Amino acid sequence: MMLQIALRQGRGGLVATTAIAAFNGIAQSLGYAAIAGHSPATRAAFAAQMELVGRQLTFLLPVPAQVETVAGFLQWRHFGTLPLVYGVWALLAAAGAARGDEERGHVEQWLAAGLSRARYLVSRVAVFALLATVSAAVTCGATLLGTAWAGDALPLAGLVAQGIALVALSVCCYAIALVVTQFAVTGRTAAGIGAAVLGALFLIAGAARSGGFEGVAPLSPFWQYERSRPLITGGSLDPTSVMWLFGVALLGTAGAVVLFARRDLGSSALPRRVSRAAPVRDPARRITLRLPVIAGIDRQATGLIAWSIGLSALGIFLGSLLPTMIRLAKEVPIIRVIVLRGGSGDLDAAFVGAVWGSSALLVLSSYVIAQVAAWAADESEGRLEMALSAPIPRWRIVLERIATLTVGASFLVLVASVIVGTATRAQGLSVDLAKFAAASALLVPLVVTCGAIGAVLIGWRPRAAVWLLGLVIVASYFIQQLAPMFGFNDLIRHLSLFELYGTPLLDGPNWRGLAIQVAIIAVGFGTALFSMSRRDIAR
Amino acid sequence: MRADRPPIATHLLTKDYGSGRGIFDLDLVIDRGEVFGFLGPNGAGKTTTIRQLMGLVRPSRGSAEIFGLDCQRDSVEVKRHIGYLPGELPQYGGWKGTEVVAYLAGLRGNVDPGEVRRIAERFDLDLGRTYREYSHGNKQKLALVVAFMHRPELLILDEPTSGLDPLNQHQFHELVDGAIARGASVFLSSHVLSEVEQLCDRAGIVREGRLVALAPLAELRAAKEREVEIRFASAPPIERIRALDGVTVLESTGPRVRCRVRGSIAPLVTVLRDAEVVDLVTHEPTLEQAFLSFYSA
Repeated sequence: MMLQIALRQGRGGLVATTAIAAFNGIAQSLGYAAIAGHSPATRAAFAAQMELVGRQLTFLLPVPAQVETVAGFLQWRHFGTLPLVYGVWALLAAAGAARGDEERGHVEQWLAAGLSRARYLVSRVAVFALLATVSAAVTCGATLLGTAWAGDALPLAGLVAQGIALVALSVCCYAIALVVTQFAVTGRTAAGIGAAVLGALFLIAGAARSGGFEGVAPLSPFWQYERSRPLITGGSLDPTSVMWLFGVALLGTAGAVVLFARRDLGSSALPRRVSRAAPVRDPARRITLRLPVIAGIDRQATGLIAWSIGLSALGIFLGSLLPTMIRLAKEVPIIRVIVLRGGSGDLDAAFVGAVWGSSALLVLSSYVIAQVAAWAADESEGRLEMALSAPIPRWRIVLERIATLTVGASFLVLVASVIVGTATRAQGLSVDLAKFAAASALLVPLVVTCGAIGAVLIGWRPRAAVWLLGLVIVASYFIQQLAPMFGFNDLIRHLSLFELYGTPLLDGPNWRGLAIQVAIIAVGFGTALFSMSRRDIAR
Repeated sequence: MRADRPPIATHLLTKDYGSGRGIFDLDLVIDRGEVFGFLGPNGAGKTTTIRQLMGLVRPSRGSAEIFGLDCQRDSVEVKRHIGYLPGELPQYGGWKGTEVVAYLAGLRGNVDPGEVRRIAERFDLDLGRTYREYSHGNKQKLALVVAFMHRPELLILDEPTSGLDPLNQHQFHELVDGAIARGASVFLSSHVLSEVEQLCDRAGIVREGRLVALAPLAELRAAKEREVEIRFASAPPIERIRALDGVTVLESTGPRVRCRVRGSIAPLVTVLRDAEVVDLVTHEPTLEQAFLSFYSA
């Protein structure tokens, strides 16, 4: 019974992760053939360039090897990036299983039905392992298909071994996250703490590739995963590291079971402070809670600070790599083509624009998805019903959402752009500050555009809105990233929302894109206003 | 708002969700100062009716008015006069009770903090704790604070005592009495007959989406039949019991008597005073039985 429930709960994550990973497998296989060509000479030239690139990207990806073969390229570019995708899935799945379902009261019901705590957690781990196996199998199959389409071949045994390593890593990350989430109370904090821990382990593995943290690197599951390189000639599945990953998964599961058995349901495994304060009977005096829009900002104040720290940290981190990347671009023509999008111009500005623009767009898109998820939750958790029981018109809800999203996004962009702009200048890069400020400001309408699409989806299918918007944003991101590599035609390129942003640091504001964004915002929020005024408020 | 119009008036109000679910052709008028109980089993259509009155759900046909204002068209104005308690409590996660009240008071405006304090004290509710920490009962108390804090002229309460202990149920009854004393009207849904009996002036019963009965509580009480089982130490005074007005003996076996009593139980108790009673059990009628006995009277 529990297995069936856990399988049902894990369907969404399975589909999303597998779709991303399988798509990446096919795209990288086809991309390799398109860019590296088919002759040994062109592939050798491509490999020389990629090895240069790879050495500069060791903070993110494993060190490349045998890139002159499709197997070597996929080992590096495809199976080297999947740990991030599967790690995020493991984290979210564990936070959901350990805390999300507990918050929703499901765990209480299951335990009351006679299920033991140990059996509950072990079932969830087992089901996740099963789902990870299915996902890895589909991903490997899709990668095989992609290489076949491109007229290449992969060693089947190596692919199976790679799949095993991927499953071992996923289950290990899941178990670690399961332990960590025992110390949180809510699903959201569990995901936050888990992200910090797994992120640190990921960075340790990255630093170890450049010679840092070598002593503690074996403690990172990502480092252990990279010990296996079964796709390249002479490489194999490293049994010790795979055993290590499964061993940590077992230990982690046991640790989580012990912690879960010792703590109260709905509480952290950390001892709780007993409050001796006198009871409060008055409403909060904070004026911010009583003002339209400001109340919405007040509700997400902590979140906004966390988002701005995350965005700034990412900007600074990527900014610190810019001088090296620019130097590299001067040596590797393919990078210049990708960054300048086939055109020409100031390389400094192009790089700052590409790195800041794409990372900011990605983080801000995630922020929009979080906002839309909050709108959906307002409805499903009854807060919208309570708000509408006050004498306020329905349109006010939609307008407040637009305003809150705009203010929140503006705050994020302002804080992060000031910090990133300062850091960029400190790197000695010659970037026009006025253009940088304009490029940053132009991120806000794009965020609101995504929000407008989210608002329409909320009015149409509140439960599916978050997934649908996520799909639009992920597709937009991939189209934008892959378009220069594959030479997509304009029709496909314009399907990406991010295309509306353009390259403002390089070419100035994309006025046409801005006009389209304004139109989407007007139509989107207009539709949302109409839909909100007409529809039933459901729970 | 029109002072001469009833707090609630519905005309053929219908919400059809298909497959017989929803509420159909509801005609109902609630008078000023009245406490009206809307009774029915789960899924009968009580919450759907309430959500239509609140303008959250649009009727498939028919109309609903509150103080003469259309619940859909004049939804904003209508809600100035309403205090609402939803059947399913909202979730406010990490918010403190004090923040929830301040936020909802901010949306509504004109809320006296003194009134919030009085209601919170009455329920002994600590608003300083996070919503997540509240038990179900405390969440219900917070929802009651929000419903009553602006001293509304009409209270629409969906299962208001769900999760409250008897002490707090009593506090709630006093709160309703206070609201009625200042001229408010109350429309409450429930599936607990005893609660409706205690609070309401009139009750309607809804079953499978249709209002099947509507009666003043005084009449309902007079017509109420209950089953009584008595075990005597010696031979039961069966003839004296049979002679009582409103009492029907259903079974008499040895020292055990089972009978049905319509209306007050006092005459039976008087007869039993002179007998040696070992055990006495009364069975509260179900809603259906109560109404059936009312209509068969």
